[in-house]
Amino acid sequence: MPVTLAAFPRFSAQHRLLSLLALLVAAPLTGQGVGRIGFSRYMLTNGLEVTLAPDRSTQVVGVSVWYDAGSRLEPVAKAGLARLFERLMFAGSANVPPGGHATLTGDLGGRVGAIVDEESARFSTVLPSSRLALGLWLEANRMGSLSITDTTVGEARLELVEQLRDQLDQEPYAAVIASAVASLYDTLTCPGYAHAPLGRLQSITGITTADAREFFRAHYAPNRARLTLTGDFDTTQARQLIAEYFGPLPRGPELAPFACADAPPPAARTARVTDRTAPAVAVGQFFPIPPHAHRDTPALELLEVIMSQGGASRLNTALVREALALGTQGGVLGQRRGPGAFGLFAIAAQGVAADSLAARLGAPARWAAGAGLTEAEVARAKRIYRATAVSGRERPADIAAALQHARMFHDDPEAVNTEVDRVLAVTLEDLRRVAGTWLNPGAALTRIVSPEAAR
Amino acid sequence: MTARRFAATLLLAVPGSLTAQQPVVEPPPAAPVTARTEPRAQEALLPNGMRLILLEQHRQPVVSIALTVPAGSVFDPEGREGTADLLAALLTRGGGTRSAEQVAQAIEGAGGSLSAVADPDQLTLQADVLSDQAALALELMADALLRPALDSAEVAAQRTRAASSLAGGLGNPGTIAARVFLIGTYRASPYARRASPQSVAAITRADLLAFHKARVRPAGAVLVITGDLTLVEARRLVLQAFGGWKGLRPAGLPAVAPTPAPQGIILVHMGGAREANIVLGATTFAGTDTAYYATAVLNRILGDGRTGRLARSLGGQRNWTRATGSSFLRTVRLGVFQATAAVPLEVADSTLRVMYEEVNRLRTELVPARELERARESVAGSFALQLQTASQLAAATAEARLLGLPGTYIGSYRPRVLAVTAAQVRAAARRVLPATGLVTVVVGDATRLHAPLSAIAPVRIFAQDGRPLTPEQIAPAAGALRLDFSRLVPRTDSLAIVAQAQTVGLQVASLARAGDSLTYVEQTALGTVLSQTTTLVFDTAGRMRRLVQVGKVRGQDTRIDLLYSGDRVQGATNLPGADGPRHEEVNSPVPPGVMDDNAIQAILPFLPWALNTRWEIPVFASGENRIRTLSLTAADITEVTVPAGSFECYRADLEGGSQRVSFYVTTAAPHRVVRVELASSPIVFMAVNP
Repeated sequence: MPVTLAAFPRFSAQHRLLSLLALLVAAPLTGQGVGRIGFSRYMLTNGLEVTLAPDRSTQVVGVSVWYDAGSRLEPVAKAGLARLFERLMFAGSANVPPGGHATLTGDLGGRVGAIVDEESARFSTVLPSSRLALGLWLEANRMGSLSITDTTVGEARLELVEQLRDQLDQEPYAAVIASAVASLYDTLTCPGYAHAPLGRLQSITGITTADAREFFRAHYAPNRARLTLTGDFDTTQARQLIAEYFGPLPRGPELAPFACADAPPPAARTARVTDRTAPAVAVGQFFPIPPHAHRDTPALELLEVIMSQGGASRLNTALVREALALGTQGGVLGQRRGPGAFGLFAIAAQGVAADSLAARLGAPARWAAGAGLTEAEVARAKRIYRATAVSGRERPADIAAALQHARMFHDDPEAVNTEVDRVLAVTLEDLRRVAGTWLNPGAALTRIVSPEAAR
Repeated sequence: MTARRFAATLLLAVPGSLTAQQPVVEPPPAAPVTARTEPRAQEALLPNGMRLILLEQHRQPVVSIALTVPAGSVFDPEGREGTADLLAALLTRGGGTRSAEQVAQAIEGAGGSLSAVADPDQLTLQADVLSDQAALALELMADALLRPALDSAEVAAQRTRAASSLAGGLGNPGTIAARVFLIGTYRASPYARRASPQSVAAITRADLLAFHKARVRPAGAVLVITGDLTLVEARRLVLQAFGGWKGLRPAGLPAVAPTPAPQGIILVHMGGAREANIVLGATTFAGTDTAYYATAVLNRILGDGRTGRLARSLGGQRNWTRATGSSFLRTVRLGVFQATAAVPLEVADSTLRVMYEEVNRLRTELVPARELERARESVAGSFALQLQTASQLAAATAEARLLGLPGTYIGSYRPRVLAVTAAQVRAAARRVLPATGLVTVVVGDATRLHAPLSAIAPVRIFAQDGRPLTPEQIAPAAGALRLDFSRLVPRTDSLAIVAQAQTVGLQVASLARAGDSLTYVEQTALGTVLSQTTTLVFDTAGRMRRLVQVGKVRGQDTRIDLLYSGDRVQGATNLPGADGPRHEEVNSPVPPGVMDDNAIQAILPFLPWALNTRWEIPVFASGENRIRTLSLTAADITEVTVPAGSFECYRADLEGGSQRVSFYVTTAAPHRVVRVELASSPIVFMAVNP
């Protein structure tokens, strides 16, 4: 039997009333951060947590399942094991032929998505709403009976090796950035974050069918998963289908909580590395930042916009317009429940020395920390941030992801309705303080990337 | 059964592998779909003749605004095709008091986006912004549409961009096929107009202003707003931005009388093209025609997606192509339906036969129930997924309105598609893919396609510029293998060997006269893989005398030493084999005029070059100890840029060897090889010395 409310004392009846009202009252939202997303929540006896956020104005449903099965949980020697499931989860199950999940969905005009990063394994299926039952059935099938055989694991492993090769051969700087971020963490106190989720050639080829079965058994159980349903569905009918398809799945083992000591601030370290796909010299700076739920995160997210989004951003005006860089990038590198990372990256323009670019790359951060930041700049950044947040709450799949994010990173899906306001409340003083605390070039890890000389 | 398959079969029986253990359960069926009435469209006709349509949605504080005017490419002036597209590209590049950069910063700083696009019927400007930025978005849109800067430098830049992108497309057989097909189906209709690099280059700022003045008028304009705004507020903001816009309704599109389609197959000659691009289809109907729904289902069945009939017939077991499909274009007056395939030259005729068969089956047979059901659901489902955001809804609403469709169109789309019957699909096939009147275009090497295609239907051949060609004009003239060494200039050329933008090796070739002989020496170094020196000796009449090739291939020594005299070749080869060097004596009869197979590149400068000439060259293949006939065709003339400079070159394709090789030989004498491409390898040779 599903358990409701009792399991979630923070989720009060008042919340539910508010969300119902929000659906009933159609009034302009001008002045609000983002439109409220109403939802309800309950848990199956096998531990599967369900969030329902119906929106009858659309004609599609989003079925989202997030597993607490990120790469931080895999053994370093098997790096890539968690990422393997991005593919393996489409390999078929008891009632679904190999590839069937994607083709059944695609043939109906729907879409599938899968992402595995350090934190989680996220699966999304979008279907026309008449196919709600199919979407739930497909997810329940793979949660209950994923086809993990030498053949399916072998194929997934091969594809993962291909992806790794592609990254090394075709994605300039990607491998360098991934390894720089991983090296912000201590391999002993925080092995989970101290390796890249894509793994290495040796670690991937070392993954066995037994490894995949064990990882699936431990992490792909209902009590490690959260199901979120968004879009055009009837709540009563959805609850029946969920009970029918997911109810019989057995609960998995309880695991010890993940541990990672806060990354010690690295002494300023500079390393020169080569990347044979790099078209030009580039410089990256990487900073350890606090976990996503930390009070400084809203300011860091706004700093990301100020530094790197759009033509008027700091990096663009200071480096690209001054013809010092061909392109720049900057921001929070993946949201984490544990300690996070912030990066600044610039590709040098012709004739610009790496060291002078490295010196300049630190400047915008210093500027934000000092007196240079203006109220107008902050207001612009808030508008851009809010517009991005709003457009990330339009499609059912995106709404589901926002709810899942709120639950995973803030322990409460209701954070979906408060998170943006936290960012919009950030002041100029907050930004200066946070930039000074976390984006201190003195504490950064610097990588100077050179194209490998052609032999 | 192989060991691997045996092992795989065993695994299926292992307990814990659930796939083999339980009876398979069928997926759950679809729930019924009913018509939607929400969001309801509210309409207002503004005093200046603009129509405002509002679809209120207050889920998120966002609005999307789409403004369309009947100023599509169908209204392009003759000789200035591309005007509507160019105008659309320029609208967001400065307007009112803002420069291009100021417009970009204004919209970006508001967290929004602004874009403009022209299609055959209309020009659409669309902005997506937070609802509290709606006034700014409308101001930017009014500036863009009513007061575009059309800055001369911007005009020149966008014109160059458009012309070069068109020119790029004209080298692509798929683009040519699509273009010729549209011209062939639309014939006298204004929809047949196609921009060309020349027509775009001719467009002046004055042309753009004249087009703007004639077509961009408030009467006939439709402004759709979706999202977080009330009608009162929307009306106020729109009047504030567009209230001063005046002008009479622009002239409509003249009625388009269908003209009889050209019969037979239109074959566009692209000498040397390895693939054939096929397009077949016909004009359809006006935008409001209710045959649309059955046609959408027909399109899905025939070729939309991986599981369409064309993909199954031409891909799958036959494995002729993965690039096949069908599509259809809906316009105000007259649409087109087309099926396409890109296939290797050798199977072009078989492919066309299969395509005709598939089309004919749809005209004559009823689609089986299950296939129909899947196609209907796919079409209806895709439609639902395309309407998830305010922006998508605004664009779809504006398009529907411009096509003349009723306000209930979007809400009733899915039930209407799901109600399409097999008989309606067959009727649609008869209408949009008629037995007589189907236009067929094939782009490819007509020298090789003309005969096989003529067995299917009468073929008319055209050059890429539209000139009619006779079969005689395209037939490659058999060239005599007459080598003219009289104008030999001693010289040395270096070619860099490049793979994926990296230089991996070098080839140096020199040619000199020594007494009554000509000596060609070619040194090739390719990293640690290969290093060899080839020496070829000819007499002054161009006959082979001797080949000596020494070097190392993957660390193993090689040596070939052959003497050609009259009707025999004698000597020895030492080539690397799987179990070490392989020594073979050579003593074989050879036909007159035989060349060593290493000599092709050496003799290229001395051939009597002319386009469409094919030489059959008997060669002695020393590695195999046998005679082969290679065929070399001067298939094309093209501009080639290599480190040594830019050259007009013949592209000569060498076939009959282990793989196809394309040599680029300068058209100017003394002829010189400046580029060599291997068909199945990323390696390219490029001349580096001037």
